[in-house]
Amino acid sequence: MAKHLDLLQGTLDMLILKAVSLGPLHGYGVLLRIQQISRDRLEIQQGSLYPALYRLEHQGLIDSEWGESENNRKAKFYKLTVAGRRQLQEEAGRWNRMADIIAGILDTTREEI
Amino acid sequence: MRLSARVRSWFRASLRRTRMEREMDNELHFHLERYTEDLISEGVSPEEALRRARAEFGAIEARKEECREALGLRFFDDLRSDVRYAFRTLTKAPVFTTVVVLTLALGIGANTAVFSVLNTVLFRPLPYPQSERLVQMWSTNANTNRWGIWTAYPRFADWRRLATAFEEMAAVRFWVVNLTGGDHPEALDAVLASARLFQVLRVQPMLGRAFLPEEDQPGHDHVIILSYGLWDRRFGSDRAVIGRAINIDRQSYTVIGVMPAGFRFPPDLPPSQSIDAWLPPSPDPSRNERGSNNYYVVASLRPAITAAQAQAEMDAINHGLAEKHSEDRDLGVKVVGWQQQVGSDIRPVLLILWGAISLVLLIACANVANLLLARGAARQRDAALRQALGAGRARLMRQLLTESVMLALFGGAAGLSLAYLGLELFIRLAPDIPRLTETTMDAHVFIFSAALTLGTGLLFGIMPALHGSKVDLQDALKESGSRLTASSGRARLRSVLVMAEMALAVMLLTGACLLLRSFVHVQQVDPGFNGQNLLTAFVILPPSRYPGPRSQALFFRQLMDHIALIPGVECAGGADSAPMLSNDAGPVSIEGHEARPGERVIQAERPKITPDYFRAMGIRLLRGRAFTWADDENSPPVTFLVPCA
Repeated sequence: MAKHLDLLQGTLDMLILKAVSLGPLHGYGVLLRIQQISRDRLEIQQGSLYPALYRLEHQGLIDSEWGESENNRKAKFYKLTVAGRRQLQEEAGRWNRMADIIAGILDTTREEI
Repeated sequence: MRLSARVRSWFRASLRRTRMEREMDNELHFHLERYTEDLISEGVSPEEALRRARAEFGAIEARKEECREALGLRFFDDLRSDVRYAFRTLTKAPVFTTVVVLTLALGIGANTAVFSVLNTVLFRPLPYPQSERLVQMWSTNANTNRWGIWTAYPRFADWRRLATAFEEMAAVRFWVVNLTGGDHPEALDAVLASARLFQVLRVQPMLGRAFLPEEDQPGHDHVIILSYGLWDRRFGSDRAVIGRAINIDRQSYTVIGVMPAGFRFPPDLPPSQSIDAWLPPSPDPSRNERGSNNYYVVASLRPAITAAQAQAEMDAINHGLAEKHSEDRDLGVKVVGWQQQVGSDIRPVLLILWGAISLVLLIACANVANLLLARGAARQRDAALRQALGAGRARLMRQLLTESVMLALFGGAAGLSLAYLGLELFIRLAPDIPRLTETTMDAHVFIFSAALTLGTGLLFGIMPALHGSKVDLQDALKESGSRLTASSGRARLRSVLVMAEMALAVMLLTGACLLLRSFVHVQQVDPGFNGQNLLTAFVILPPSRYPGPRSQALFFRQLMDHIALIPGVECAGGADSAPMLSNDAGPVSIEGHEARPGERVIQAERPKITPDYFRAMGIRLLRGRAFTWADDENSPPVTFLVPCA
């Protein structure tokens, strides 16, 4: 059960922004980075990764350029733009507030009402 | 900022499409290769690794399609393939396509042509600078509750002196003057104008100058401005004409200016008429009479003053004038935007015409929709196949609508050329619509036509699209399936369309018949004279040469004799007013007849005529004799009573 946590709608975009905020990555690298920082607890549909990357670039949140990969092959690298950094902050803030609220609700005991 | 990023990204992807596709392909394959390598390094066999990588990634073409959609390219990709497909199907059915395009071309073309006229006559600003500030001022008569009588010159002079809401104000009157000298005399259609007319219009002569402020005053008012046409015709476009004296009504007038070729005033002059000259009101003997309402007043409002504010000021001024002058007692004043005023007579006619033409377009739409529905039956399997391959209903509808709009576009393009030709014809057929010669197909017309075309395409396409996209896969793909059920709905729809079409056509026919009947009725009314083969001409004698009635009568007697001698002329007569062209009626009383209280006073027109007038007009005398030139001022006066229907 733990391994196949489905991503909430819109969460993938935020995770991609976070992954590339730590340094430029190619598409496959984004996938590995998210798996690595989630300690393999999140599985990302590989097919949905690229449409999400294209969408974010289309919105001007990330930027891409071609470069050399680790094993000297040409690959397209993504990096965060200024607008993307702002967007990531906003979304992270919203996510944390929401998580607090939900956690507070779930922790409520009978005595507290 | 976000939007601009999207637009930039869309343009980049669209303009460098092949490069974008190649890079996308490289990127996705790089991913698959790296994943496969990673799986192999984890100990999976190469074949198995490749299989797993592909399975987890999903269909690569579908992924690409999603990426293209993310870049906003999908809409135009679909559009392009729809257009290509529609073009193929339309060229495969040339007869169908031709019939539809011609039908639409007629509907759209006629509508565009009428709109061009409407656009010019009703909406286009008058052909003078800052024409939105021009107003026309009418006198109104409170007693008869009738507005729209013209204004006496002295009254206009008071208005101009007292009003502050206007930059300039001018009064004009149509007149005919005789130009003599040179090889032949000529009667000129002239406009008598107060001095500031050209300041009101903000138009300057092409040569020379406009009137000076004092040039409508006696002693300064023997100046004249020529039209381009008269200057060209009579003076051989000689620039030295400025300052030359010419003979108008046997008095000397100095030419001070020539107006440019395109200048038309008044703006609502029918295209068949033109004005030859503008001069001060000096030839008009009635210009000092406060009871002669003969002038048409135009004015330009001061900036930031509205017609309503001007109206309020004019009402106050008018109140004061009515106290002072008995002639002004029952008169009011009305300030109207000149542009609205010019089109107001013809507006209902044009709107009716537009309505009728729009009905024709609706009928064309119903017709085309019907044809499309009939064709839809044959294409049911095609639609079913597309649906089986994954096309949604919306997608199918969009494809069908694309086809309809393309048909409409072809029709619209053909319609525009038709409108262009039709407009020429219309201008030739209806020469009495004001400002018709100004009519051109401007940007407004093209925008209207484009919107009309698109609207038409969607209108006639929507029902066939709704119907054509509703496919029962099972039935449609089975060769022998129950065709009957699918087509009975379509048959019902088609009969509804035919009924709507009939209803529209009947409406149109009824309207047309009523108009035709009114026309025939008007033609059949016996006006009391025979207008066939009758020519009329308008003659004004200059008072300086023909001062009294005797000399005038002598002139007309000689004129009648001369005209009667022209080969082909049967008979010539004259009158000082013609039937239906004047309403110069006045009260008539009969000697020895005691008017009973409450009895209606007889009102009659009292034209003065020459002996052969009745014969020339084909008016039959019931009893008695026509008079002769012997009935002059020395014999007892004679009068004719003409019975009227």
